[in-house]
Amino acid sequence: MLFNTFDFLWIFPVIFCMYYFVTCRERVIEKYPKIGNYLLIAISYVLYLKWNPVYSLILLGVTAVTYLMAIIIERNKAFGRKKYICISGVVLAMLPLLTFKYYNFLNNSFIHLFGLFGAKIGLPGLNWVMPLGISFYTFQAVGYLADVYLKRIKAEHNWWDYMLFVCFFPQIAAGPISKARDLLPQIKARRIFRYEQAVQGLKWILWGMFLKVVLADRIGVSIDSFNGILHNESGLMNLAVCFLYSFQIYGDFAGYSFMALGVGELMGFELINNFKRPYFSQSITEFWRRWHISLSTWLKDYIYIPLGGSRCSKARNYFNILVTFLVSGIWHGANWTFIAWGVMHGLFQVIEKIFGINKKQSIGIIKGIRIAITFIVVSFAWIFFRQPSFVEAWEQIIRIFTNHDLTLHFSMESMCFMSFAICLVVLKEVAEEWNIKWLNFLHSRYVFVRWVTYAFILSCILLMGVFDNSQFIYVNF
Amino acid sequence: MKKFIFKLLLFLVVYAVVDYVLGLGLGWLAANAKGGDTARNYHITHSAEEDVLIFGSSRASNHYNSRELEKQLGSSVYNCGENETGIMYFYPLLNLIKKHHLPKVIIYDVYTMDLLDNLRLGHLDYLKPLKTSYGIDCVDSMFFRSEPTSKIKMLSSLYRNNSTFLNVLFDWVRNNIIYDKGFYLLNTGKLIDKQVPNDNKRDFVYDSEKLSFLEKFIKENKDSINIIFSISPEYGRTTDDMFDPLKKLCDQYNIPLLNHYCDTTFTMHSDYFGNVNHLNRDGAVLYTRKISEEIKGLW
Repeated sequence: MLFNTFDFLWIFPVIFCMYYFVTCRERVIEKYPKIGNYLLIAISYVLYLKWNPVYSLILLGVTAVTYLMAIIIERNKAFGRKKYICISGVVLAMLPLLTFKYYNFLNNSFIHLFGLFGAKIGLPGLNWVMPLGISFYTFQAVGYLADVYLKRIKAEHNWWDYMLFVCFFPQIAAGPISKARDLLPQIKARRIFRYEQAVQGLKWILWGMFLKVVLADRIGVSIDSFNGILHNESGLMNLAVCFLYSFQIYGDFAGYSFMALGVGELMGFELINNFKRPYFSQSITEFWRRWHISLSTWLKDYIYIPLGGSRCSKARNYFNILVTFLVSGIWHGANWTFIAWGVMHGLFQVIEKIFGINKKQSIGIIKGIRIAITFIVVSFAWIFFRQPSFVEAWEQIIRIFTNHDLTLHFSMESMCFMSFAICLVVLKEVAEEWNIKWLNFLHSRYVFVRWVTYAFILSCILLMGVFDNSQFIYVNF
Repeated sequence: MKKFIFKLLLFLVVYAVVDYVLGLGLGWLAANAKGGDTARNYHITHSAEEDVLIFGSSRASNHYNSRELEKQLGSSVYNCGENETGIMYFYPLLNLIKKHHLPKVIIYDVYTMDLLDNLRLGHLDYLKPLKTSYGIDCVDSMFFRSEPTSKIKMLSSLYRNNSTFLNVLFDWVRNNIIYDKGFYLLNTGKLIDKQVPNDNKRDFVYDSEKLSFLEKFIKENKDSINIIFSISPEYGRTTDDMFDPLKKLCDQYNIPLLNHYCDTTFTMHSDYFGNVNHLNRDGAVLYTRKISEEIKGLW
């Protein structure tokens, strides 16, 4: 269930009422302490089945493989054997992801490679839709398996608790990728309704909805109409699209993550917050501590540190960073542009490390300049993320630097909508980043101010939102 | 939990009032708009009293010069053509207009939006200009038909003004002269890409719902209004087989069809076009004169 659909508006209140109607009854809870979990599993699977019944078998398969493998790992005393069981479990769990996401890419790459030598060798391509959220739930399940192998946590023996850990509906489509040590204890504990948590949940949903339908989708409507013809537009237009996409992808992904966080809070869960104002980062290294935090943490824990992390030679450390971000690029999509994007981010971080920029925190004007430079670098890297091929990405970059025409072909209306949404988001984030309490209207101590802010955001959503049930960008990953 | 639900409901009630009041405010701004789309749309839906009304997509608003038609026909004319719309919009629109005025003649310029099923737009998108007229039976029923959830969505008056409120505000502040009696004034360009469209055998997927509404439109109005269907020229076209279902309907109900789709007076002359689908202002004047003569012949 995607949060920007009309279905969500009526299905979620029903789920909420059903959930608390069952879990708030002492007698029921005494007799069936896990009834809330069973209900959430049923809801999660029904919603997934509604999208595609067959693909729910993959979800179930990944859950079963990692559940059983974790128990087998725990029962085996010999470390060497454990390693092979863990590797087998990871490969088995990753198999659907590798098949659906990378088969065509690898096949086409090989065909192209062999073609260069005049050979026509290749397998037939697959024309299957990718299962919803497969990259997210697979990484979550594999992370759990690795944690059990590394003895960071004990294997979960309750099948139903583990099933809910993998399929929990607010995070299945596009994360956050939760860690077992954070989420499983919450699943096991009895959750009670807390007023403050529920109100906070609603605030997350409201703000997330604004980011998605007003910021991201408004920009999307404006810039997507130039797809494929951007090379005919002015340099300024190409530059504007580059920067606007930075806001679009932030609004799109952070919007989803905040709504997932909000839905989780309303159900009594504390999910990991994926975003901490990433565009206020002073370096690329810091950017990755603020952007898609759950994935960054996953990559750090299961790729970077096992490779040796920073406790090794400098050269090896740089290699580890590059490999970690290569994996990040590959995770985002089966295309050379994503790989280039990942490697680029890795390279930037290596450069920062060589010059010691990654650890320095500046203040005042220097801080402002560093934030601006980081934003520009990140935005240019997004060009490779957005464009379907190197040629188009390169064309856009060349156009920015070689065409000095200053015309912008956005309508007055879309300029107003985009500027307004960007200003509002920047204002809120400035208030949070610099802890300016009087500016943080959503959390004002005055009820009137809070309610006016809620009403204002809701009005903006109704008046300016794009309600075409557009897909979230990260759901495709 | 009780406190949470109580406060949530209280907020929703307060917000419903806010939404209603803001909706009234936007309605007032639209009624007092000085120009632009808002004033035009308000005139069409609330106060159009002209004898002759032009219906159709952007081709209608670009091709039928109302002043020229008035001069030639000696009757008052208003161009109601609306960008990217078709019969799913004009059927409820005419019912809405009939609530306050019965036009004598309707010249309906037919295009793909009235017949085909191969457009990216869903039926609900065609109704966008009517969102602000929501609350009247003939309009509401079309919304429900296109999307049942609109019954709930349209309860919000702010949602009804979604995406258009900025235009409403601008049009209230300044007199944006882009229309003259509904005729679009700004199509003054010349055709740059003169590539002739491919007229080889094309497969058309017709929308049965649109065709049935087209038939309903004829049946319900042919006795009280003079309906004239027209097809204005498109650059480089040599066949008009796309319009076969329309020709059949016109034959069946004895409705005049003024077909200029492949009229070589226009289709061979790029100077008359602003782009392949639309005549420019020069082309529009010429076309309007030509079609007025034919209409005069019908009376």
